[in-house]
Amino acid sequence: MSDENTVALELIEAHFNKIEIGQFEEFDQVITEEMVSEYVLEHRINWPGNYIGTENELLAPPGIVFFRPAVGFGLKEPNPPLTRAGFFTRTDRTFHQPVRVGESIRFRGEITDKYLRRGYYYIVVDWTATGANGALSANGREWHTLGWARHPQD
Amino acid sequence: MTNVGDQVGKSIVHGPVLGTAAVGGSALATGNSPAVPNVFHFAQMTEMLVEFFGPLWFQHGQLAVRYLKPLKQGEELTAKANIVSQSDHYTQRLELEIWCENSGGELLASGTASCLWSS
Repeated sequence: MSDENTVALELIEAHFNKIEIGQFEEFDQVITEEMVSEYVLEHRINWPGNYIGTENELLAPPGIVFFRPAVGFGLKEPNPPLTRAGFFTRTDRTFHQPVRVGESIRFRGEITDKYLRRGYYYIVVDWTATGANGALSANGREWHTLGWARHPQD
Repeated sequence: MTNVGDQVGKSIVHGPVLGTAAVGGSALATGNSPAVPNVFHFAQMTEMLVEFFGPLWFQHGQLAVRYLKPLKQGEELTAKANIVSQSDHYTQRLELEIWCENSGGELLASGTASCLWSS
């Protein structure tokens, strides 16, 4: 493993040790047309296509409506790239009502588990997305690594 | 809409779709082609499910996936699903096996999905 990986692991491990089960983040986010346009372009989604509501309103693709563990609980800049982002290993999401483009969504994410497995530091985050009408729009659970750095395999 | 029971046994496919997005740091970690974020897999699966279930997916869709292997930047991904059962005789909910593979047929993600067929 490179020095870069070793340095990143030290930072990630210190961060992992600070994270507590039960810790949560809550914030409002407007799902803007700009966000959706960028998402559908990057993910090659046929939008608006099937994403038009009963009153001809534009709907956000379901894949954009979730709590991002790395954004909520991960290391951010100016930390080195191997410490940031990370990757999903598992996702479980349920959808309850459409999210309109321009709608303000309240996201809440809570750490429900953390562990070291196969060299990676993981967090498990349970989340909800509540629509502007106060009703649940989506909820889920994400399994996500903290960064890309990993302990060398035995 | 056709009868819910008639859907069981059907297969659906979406793609192939070219993955071009990259995750910061992934190239450093893998030492070769940067990985496409796994949210891309999820995006293609939900695109397929929205196409199949229509507006009901937004209110009654459920998708649980394990990501097994990253898609490399510049590779193509295809999402596939088999409709395996109806939840029970009294509901209109369909259950699916769902997965993604690359152009070489390697399994990238797999899981289950379900949604009402009619409300």
